[in-house]
Amino acid sequence: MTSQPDSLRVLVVDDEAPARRKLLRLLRDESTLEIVGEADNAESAIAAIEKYRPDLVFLDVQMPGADGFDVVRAISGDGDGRAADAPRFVFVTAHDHYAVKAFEVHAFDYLLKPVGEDRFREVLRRAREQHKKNGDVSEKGLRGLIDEVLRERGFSDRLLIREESRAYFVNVREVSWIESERNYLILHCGAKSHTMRGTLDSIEEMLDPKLFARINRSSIVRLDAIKEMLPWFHGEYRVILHDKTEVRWSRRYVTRRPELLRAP
Amino acid sequence: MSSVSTNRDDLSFRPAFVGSPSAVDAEPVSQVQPPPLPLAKTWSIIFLIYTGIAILLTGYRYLDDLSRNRPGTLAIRSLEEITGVYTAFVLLPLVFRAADLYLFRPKRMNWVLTGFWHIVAGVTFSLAHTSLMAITREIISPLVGLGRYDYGIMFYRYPMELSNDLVGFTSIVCLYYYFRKFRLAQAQELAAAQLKTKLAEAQLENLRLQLQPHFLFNTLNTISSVMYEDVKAADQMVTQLSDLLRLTLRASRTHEIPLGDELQITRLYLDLMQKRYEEKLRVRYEIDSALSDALVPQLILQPLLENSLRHGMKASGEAIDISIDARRENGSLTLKISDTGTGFGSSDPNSVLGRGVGLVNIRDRLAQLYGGGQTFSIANRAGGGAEIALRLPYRTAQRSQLAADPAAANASDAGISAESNSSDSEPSSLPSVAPLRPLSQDQ
Repeated sequence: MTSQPDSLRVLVVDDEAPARRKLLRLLRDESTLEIVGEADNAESAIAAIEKYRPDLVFLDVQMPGADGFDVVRAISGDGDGRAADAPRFVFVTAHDHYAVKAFEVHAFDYLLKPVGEDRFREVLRRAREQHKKNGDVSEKGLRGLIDEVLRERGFSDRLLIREESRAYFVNVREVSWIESERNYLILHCGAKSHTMRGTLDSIEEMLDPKLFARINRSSIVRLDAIKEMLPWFHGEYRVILHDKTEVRWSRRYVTRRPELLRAP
Repeated sequence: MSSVSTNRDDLSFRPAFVGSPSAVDAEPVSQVQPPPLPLAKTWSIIFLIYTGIAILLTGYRYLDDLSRNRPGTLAIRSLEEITGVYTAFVLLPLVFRAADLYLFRPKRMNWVLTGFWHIVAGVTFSLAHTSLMAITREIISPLVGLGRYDYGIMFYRYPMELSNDLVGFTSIVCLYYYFRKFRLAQAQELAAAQLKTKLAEAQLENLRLQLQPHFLFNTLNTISSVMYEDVKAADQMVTQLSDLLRLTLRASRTHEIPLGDELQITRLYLDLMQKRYEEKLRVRYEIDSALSDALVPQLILQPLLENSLRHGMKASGEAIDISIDARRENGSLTLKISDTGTGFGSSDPNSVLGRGVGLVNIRDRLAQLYGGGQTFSIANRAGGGAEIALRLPYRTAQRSQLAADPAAANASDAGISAESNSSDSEPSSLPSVAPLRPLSQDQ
């Protein structure tokens, strides 16, 4: 399986090893195809895609922690213009009504588990054809799919953090508060903190208001991280977090979430 | 195939109480207390009833006088009956308290002793009632212009009123006794119904879990991969998956099953999960083998494990260790499920419970089954990961069996023999099997 100019470079992502072996076995029967690697979780999938730049990724949709859509979202770029040469994706799923519908609407190929050989060869043949026709994947298509899936899924459970050498996910329940600094957001998670690009307005939309509240122009706190709230002047509050951080809850934002001050 | 038949023998899954779930229900549900009555409303109603009695008795006495041609006694008869009835009303709380002490407090009813205390209480009541009547009439009569009241010689009054009072006292106590019994039975019926609903929900939840298309299709996908590598291993997985489906179809209607049976389902489930995740999932059992007869709520472990797997595994794909721990501590059984996953990420129990629907159901079921005799705790482990612990009263199947009446024991024999020679007819008796029909048709 040496690299030839027209050979298809493939990555396989699934959290279950037997499921990966099954796809790899089917792929090994193919000619002019190079298996560039495999990944068993979302974070290593993102790293592998960025490192090997595969043409085609077989991507398991359901993975714990962060799933296949998180991978696509990271690759297609959260508005930070990284989607230069995104690979083609073939989604693999056991059972997922709304995802399957989204795949069909946005013309993405998918495989259902248990994976049948005929369907597999058919999907692979189509992928080769499209790959030959135009090297680029429509970024618009990916974004459309992701937007639809995100709409279905509601608020985000995890946030993608990119560092120079790697990308990883942070569970929103680990974040105690988020601070904005110019074009960056600092996620404070206990002793650790993570930096990501973005604005407070855009991240506020992604977070469940049952878990988070914006308390001033430049901070969002997780409600469970609050230890106490002390009245201050002019209808403002001093918000003390469990980690002893103190943040001001400005009056303008107090009036936005009056229900938080009401006794349950 | 040998493993299937051994499994079936091991499956005295429906423990002893087939057809008589009440034998199991009886113990936990008997701790149920009816909701408190609205005090003001209850006493107002009793007061109205007593007023009615006072009016009727006054009428009775006055008409008696009229028929003997002794008119003009309405005022004095009213005074007599009103004081007589309302002094009895004032004594009612003490009557109820006394009835509580000798009717409801003793664990076992001894008729001689109960009769004795009833008479003692009745005589005391009569003495108090007669004295109160004498005193109130003495005081009120001059105040309402009826002059000094003459109650006659008290030495004869007391025994005279005693006969009357004993009849009244006995009827009040009887009414009180049956009223309380009735309310208790009502509350127990309600609690038993609620418990049944919870069990049905748990069964459904469990079905959804195992026959969750995800679980089923992913397991089948694993089998379809493993069969190219190791035909024997693939064959074993097919058997395990079938056993698991069969056990789920058979889930009994009893609230509690022996821990050994519960663990059998757990092991099949985790074995299959382990084959899917290979080295990414490690399971450790620490089960005291003497505990296999201990009764645990049916289908309690699986939702907890599923919770650990689904929410505990990390995005970075690290391996997760799950351990299942069962031990006996004094009079209680402690079941603990801990994992090295992401933990709950929050100390707020409400948001923790929100992590899985199953957890809320389990908490409610435990509370209904054991009341204050259980604890259900959710915590983050110091080294990372989650820990869920249940503490239940320790009871074994054997002991409950002895407690059950002979009829129940007969029913249980019939149940076991019916089970051993039928495999297909069982599921139809279960209310929660409906969603499975399409599957069994495929087979």
